Amino acid sequence: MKNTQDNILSELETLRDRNLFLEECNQRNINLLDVLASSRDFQEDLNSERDNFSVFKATFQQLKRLLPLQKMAFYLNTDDNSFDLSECLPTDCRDEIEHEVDQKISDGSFAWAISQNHPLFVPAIKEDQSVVLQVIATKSRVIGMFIGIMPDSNNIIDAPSQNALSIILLNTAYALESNSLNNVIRDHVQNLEHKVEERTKELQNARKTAETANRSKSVFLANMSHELRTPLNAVIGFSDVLLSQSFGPINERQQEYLGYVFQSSRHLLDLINDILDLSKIEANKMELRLTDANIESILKNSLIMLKEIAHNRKIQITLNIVPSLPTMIRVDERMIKQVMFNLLSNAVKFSLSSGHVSVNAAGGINLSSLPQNAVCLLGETANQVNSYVEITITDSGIGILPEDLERIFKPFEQSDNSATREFEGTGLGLTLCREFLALHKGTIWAESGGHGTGSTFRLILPQ
Amino acid sequence: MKTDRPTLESIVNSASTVYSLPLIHDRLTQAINNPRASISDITLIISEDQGLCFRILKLANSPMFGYHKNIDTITKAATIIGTQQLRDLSLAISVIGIFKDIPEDIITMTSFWKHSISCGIVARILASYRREPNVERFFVAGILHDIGQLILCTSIPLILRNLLKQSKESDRMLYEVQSSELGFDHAEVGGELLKKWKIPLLISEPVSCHHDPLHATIYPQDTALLHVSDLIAHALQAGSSGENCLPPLNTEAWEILNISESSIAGIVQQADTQIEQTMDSIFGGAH
Repeated sequence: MKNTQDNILSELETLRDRNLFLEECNQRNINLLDVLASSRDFQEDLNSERDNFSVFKATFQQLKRLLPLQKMAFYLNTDDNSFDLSECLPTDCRDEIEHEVDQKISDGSFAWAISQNHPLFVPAIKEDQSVVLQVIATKSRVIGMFIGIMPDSNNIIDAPSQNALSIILLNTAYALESNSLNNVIRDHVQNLEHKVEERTKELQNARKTAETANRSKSVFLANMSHELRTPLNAVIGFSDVLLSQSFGPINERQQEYLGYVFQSSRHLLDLINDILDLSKIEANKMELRLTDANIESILKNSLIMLKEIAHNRKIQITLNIVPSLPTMIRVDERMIKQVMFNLLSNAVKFSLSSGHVSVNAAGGINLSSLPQNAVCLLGETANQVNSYVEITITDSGIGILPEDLERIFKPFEQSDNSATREFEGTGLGLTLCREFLALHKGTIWAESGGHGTGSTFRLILPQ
Repeated sequence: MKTDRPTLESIVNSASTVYSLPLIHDRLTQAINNPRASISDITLIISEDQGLCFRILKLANSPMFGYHKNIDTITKAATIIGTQQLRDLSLAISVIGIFKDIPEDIITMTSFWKHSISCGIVARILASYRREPNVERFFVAGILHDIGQLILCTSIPLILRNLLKQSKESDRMLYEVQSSELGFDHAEVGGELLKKWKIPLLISEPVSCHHDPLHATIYPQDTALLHVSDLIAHALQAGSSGENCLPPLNTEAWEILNISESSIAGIVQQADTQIEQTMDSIFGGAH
């Protein structure tokens, strides 16, 4: 009887013990799950942090929940393949940790831990402590070593906790790796930014120098042109007087040569005037003198001046004024007169004999009805104007190749740039036209189907 | 007339009644998962089997581990090699012990285990190349990968002998002949037995699928690694498990591993130096 009772009691004791053990296991597993579940936050921490110190701090915190660690430290593998203490917790245990690691290095367990991908538990120098070593490595390289000191309880660290430790330190390894890669990228970006800044400064300086040089050139030209005009006026005036034979007769050859002198000096004067205008524009010295002007009469006056040449070359000129054209618009009359005269004399000049030139003037033109290249030419000013006056001058001349449509507006360019070119001119007329119109917030462009098809010049002015 | 065709289930069922895993494995597993257990508990369990104890120490001091100092006690082995690793090594050693007395008229045991151990060593080296945690489980998987062949040896010796003859005559892989004639091959038999023994899927799936690695759904990388290791072990021509030619490499499995081809020579050389001494550690007598 006593015997059975003893048996039952002892069995009860075993069961109670077993129960306690299972509860303990259960508690441990719940704790482990908690740690691993919070690994999500930990990972986000790791991802958001940029410097290694924060990674170490986050890892220390996570590991403290897992093992009874009293002291912890991270060693990082440096470029020359030695391991240096980077961070420890608490911060005043540096000497103790280093002493411990020196001993682990000399007894070989540190090297062994590097080659193993799982935690190594070895006795510490102090008898009541033990040391855990685990390498911090990605699949491709060893980044460092974790070392922890904990009380020696004679109990082993159970397998699930060991595995959790490895998982956490693998995360740490990748966080450190991404840190160092981030640093490399940041270095590159900074380097690049620095280079771009330097280059920009160089370019700015170069531009400033070029602009200054250009302005000095324009100022010089403006002055020079004035100096040139004075003697030229004398040449023109006196050759004109001689040609009129007011001071006595001259023979035929003298008349011929004096004629050349007169014409050439007139041409030179035109050239100098154009250069003067252009350099004024480039030097920002050209000012608009706005008055209310009648476009129709400007056009008619220009045509009267060309009447004789047109008649000689049997060129027919038609002028069409669309009723939408306003009678008066505000412009610098001198400039617009020059533009019209330039364009019309070009049209007559480049038209073949017995050809025709037609001029069309209309108002109320919207931006939307203009071709894309015209809008580009207007640039920012396009938004400042609601409606335009458009004047179109079409000739039946030799036409312009597509690739030359823009080039002819550059200084000293003609469609035919060869030395033997047939049509004389300063080569500045169209450049000036475009500059003058730009001062008015308008523009000019050419259209042509190519050689032999004639060409059309279209200009617009704010209404 | 159809004879009674053996099924996978019937073979594994009868084998599991004859061969059972020593209790020591379960006890070790419990101990290493137990937060209350101490190193001495583990030492005690292993020390109960003197043969096992001796073989583990011999293995721990072999070039396979290459630890620079003598590991002379199980306690030291547990701290240096690790407790989970110790459990896996003891599993490998005890399984070899279970199948010690298989009649050798079909397959020579030494030759069979030499191939298995070679495969285990190669798998272990490949795993360390990939910095896998706990490389010993790959050593175990390698040692166990062909145990299905041993089961077939004892359960259907006549049929197996016939299949071996067929494979030699038709120049086909033995496992292919098994598959077409029986409906299953020795890998599946081995995997099923491990499942019956409650060995984790981490080991049983790679064993089951080592001829057809893309079939593994849960541990495809581990399976790919075992597949490649088996092939390298065959190429080393250390021992044989009944196959008479080199099994084909599944290139997709090779790509999964992401190991450079140039490192293979080093891996083979490393394995070659470890095979003999590992054989001696496991089979050698106590001197």
